[in-house]
Amino acid sequence: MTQLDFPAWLRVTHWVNVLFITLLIRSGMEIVATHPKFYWRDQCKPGTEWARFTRKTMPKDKLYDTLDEEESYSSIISLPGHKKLGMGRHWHFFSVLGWILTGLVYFILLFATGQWHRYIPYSWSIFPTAWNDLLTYLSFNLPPLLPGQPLDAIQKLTYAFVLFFLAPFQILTGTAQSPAIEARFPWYVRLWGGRQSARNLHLFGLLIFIGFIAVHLVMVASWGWGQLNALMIFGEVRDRGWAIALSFVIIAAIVAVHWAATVLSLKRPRTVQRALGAVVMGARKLLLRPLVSRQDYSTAELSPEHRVNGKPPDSDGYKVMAVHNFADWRLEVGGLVEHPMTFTLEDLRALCAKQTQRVLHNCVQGWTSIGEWSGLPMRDMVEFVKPLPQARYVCFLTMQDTGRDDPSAEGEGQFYEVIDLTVARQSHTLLAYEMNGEPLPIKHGAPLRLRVENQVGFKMAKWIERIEFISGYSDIGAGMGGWREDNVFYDKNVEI
Amino acid sequence: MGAERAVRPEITVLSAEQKHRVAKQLRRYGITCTSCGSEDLDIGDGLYLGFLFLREEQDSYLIALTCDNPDCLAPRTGVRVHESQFLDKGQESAGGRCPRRAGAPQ
Repeated sequence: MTQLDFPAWLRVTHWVNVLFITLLIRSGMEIVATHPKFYWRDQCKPGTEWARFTRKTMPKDKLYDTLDEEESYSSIISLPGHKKLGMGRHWHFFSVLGWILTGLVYFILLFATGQWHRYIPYSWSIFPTAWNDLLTYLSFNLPPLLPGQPLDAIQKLTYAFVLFFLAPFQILTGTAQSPAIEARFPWYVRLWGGRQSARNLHLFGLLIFIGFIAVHLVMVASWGWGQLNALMIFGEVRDRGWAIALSFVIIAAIVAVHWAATVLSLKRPRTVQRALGAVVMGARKLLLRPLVSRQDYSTAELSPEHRVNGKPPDSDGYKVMAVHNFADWRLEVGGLVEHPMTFTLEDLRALCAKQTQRVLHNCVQGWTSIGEWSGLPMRDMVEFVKPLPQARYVCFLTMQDTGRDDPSAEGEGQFYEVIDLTVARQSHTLLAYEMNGEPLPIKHGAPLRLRVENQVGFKMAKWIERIEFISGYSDIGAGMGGWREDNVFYDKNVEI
Repeated sequence: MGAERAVRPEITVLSAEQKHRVAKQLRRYGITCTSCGSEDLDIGDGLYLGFLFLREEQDSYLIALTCDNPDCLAPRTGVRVHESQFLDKGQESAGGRCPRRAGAPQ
């Protein structure tokens, strides 16, 4: 039988795993902070949360948006802290890629070298043995190790649970929160009890991981910090003093990485956005971009209330248009097209048959709702104006001035978003002028908003007044592909 | 009924009596078309501003005004009023609060 020792690959992946899992936990807390409320139903109706990690109360007599609900957590528990969701998302997705790659290497070598024997039980008798071990620990004693193995029975079962259940569980519940996965495979979200249920389960998984780490550290200390760290650093029990010292050096190095990531994210967010975004972008485009919505929720599932992220344009021009049912509103479509056009709302309604889709809306903050959206398929608009060959992107310019309209948003200026022309041509990309069978409400973007069902909500520009076909976006705003990308450092492509 | 013919969800449809009250306010404060100066203004529906818009007072409405002058270049405008100035509930006076054209200083 394979000697269950501590080969180099096992030791290296252990410490790399410590780095990635702690990055995941802290960046996950940053993501929680942006909407620190948890629900069982995908409607996320205000007041129905089963858990909240905020003391904020929202007004009832004034429209608030979910940016007002956002919390600022300390950098000690979240990466980077201080309401920096864009940075938190970059670190989370970058770390999860690193964590999965580390896990793949670990699993392949675990089975290739026969080291899996250390984790997989051979007999049912391990369960009563594990129970006895637990009682032994509770009486502040150490149970015997399994014969010829480096672990006792309860440790073996715990590691098997964490490796073969908890880690895949976290990946699967995380995946269930991707708008692209949800759009293409609605059954998969239902498998977890819905999008919010998946979010809850992901949180429970996080808490179990934190609990595991705490108990693991107690175990290492109880069994002998020097002895076990010697095994995990040198591969054998020797030089315990050096092992203790080196274990703290390694932990200090991991803390230093966290510190650097935090400081860099707070002081040089654009650098982090570009660097980590480039790593994650490839995986997103390859795995998630091709996924097109196949959602068709029933009318009974429509959310009675739909939260908003972003407040309506607080300008007299907009209000006068609204009170006249947007009769004076015009949509200009231009840029790199053969046929620049100007449309009224009636023109858009008459342009082609209305498309209706009942879908799950995913806010970047984590809340959801189910709505029915009707309007003009964007691909029909594309065909109508005929983009020139050099057009590669579509820019949606809105009537919202964020500095004026949304003090909770960081930054100011006209809100805009850019999508790839390939995304504009996808069947679920819609210029919506109706919601739930009624004219699109003001708070949801009247008279016209974008729907891109495999991306998160902020890409779906509201209160649109102009659409421009462009060859590049580096000279628009800060050049990152949208107002949120410029100011909150989100990725331009947000299929997760 | 198709949504294209539906009243917007935020719109308050004014009764004849409520429109009469708005017209009284327009006459009282000498409000005319911002584009051509005409006094012939059709009073339309109302939009409750107080909830939706960040800087609006809680009881603020915008009433649609359409200029009857066929030569007017911008016939669709609006006037901001307080709910007590045209809604049925209560009999409180304007209390010195003037209706303001949309676009007039606060």
